[in-house]
Amino acid sequence: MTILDPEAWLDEHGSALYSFALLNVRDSHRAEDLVQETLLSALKAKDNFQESSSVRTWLIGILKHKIIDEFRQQSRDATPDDPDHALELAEAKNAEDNFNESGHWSLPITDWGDSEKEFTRDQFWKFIENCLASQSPKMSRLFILREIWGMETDEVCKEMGISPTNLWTTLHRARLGMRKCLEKKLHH
Amino acid sequence: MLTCKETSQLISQAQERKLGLRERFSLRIHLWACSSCSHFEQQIKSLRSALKTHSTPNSLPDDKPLPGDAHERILNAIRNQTSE
Repeated sequence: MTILDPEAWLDEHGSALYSFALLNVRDSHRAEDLVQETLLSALKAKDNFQESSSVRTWLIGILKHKIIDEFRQQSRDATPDDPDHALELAEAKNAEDNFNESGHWSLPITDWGDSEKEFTRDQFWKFIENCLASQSPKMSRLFILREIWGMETDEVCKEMGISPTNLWTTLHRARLGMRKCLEKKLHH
Repeated sequence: MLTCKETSQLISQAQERKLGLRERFSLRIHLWACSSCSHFEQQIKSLRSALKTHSTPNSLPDDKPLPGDAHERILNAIRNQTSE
């Protein structure tokens, strides 16, 4: 019966839920609230828990539903005159800056080799988190859903209400930005 | 001949959709001659695969402890809901 003890869930998985929420929403108060909402929903849906899956997987699944609701809201709220939009224009320019007028890379792209395999899990996530924080909220949302959660392209478009071309452009910019940011970290 | 800028876009899009025959052909030609774009392609792919291996429920980040006051607040919320 301990497996379905919500107080134990908080002790055992509280920090994992909080860390994951923080990676996705960046705001510590919001992340705390998401952990609470997740555990209360889990408590209500206790009977749906499948013994065959792990408690952590189940809880992360519930948390993801909450995060995607939040992303949907943020994506709806983004209007042309808010700061997000200005940030997006700046990101477009950053992406352009990777190339010169003739369309060549401004700086040669070098081989990373296997250097990323040398990192521990905590270092890896710290880098990803830092680099995500330097992206616009929209780029970071789409990058998270597609690259971290591994959602399918059409699913991301449907959930976020954007066209595939919009997604491709944004993800491309996000990859250029993440690449550049991670490279700086690899070399220090 | 594609520019690096166009090539990088195709490399990115190849992660999202199946490229057409002509696109794949021009991409291969460019990559054959351009080490920067080849490295970009490798980096994008290794980033995706590293994220994938780190995204199973047990390898996600868990290094940020839930703050004590939040822990207490949530515990009370759980107890309230259980006693209802």
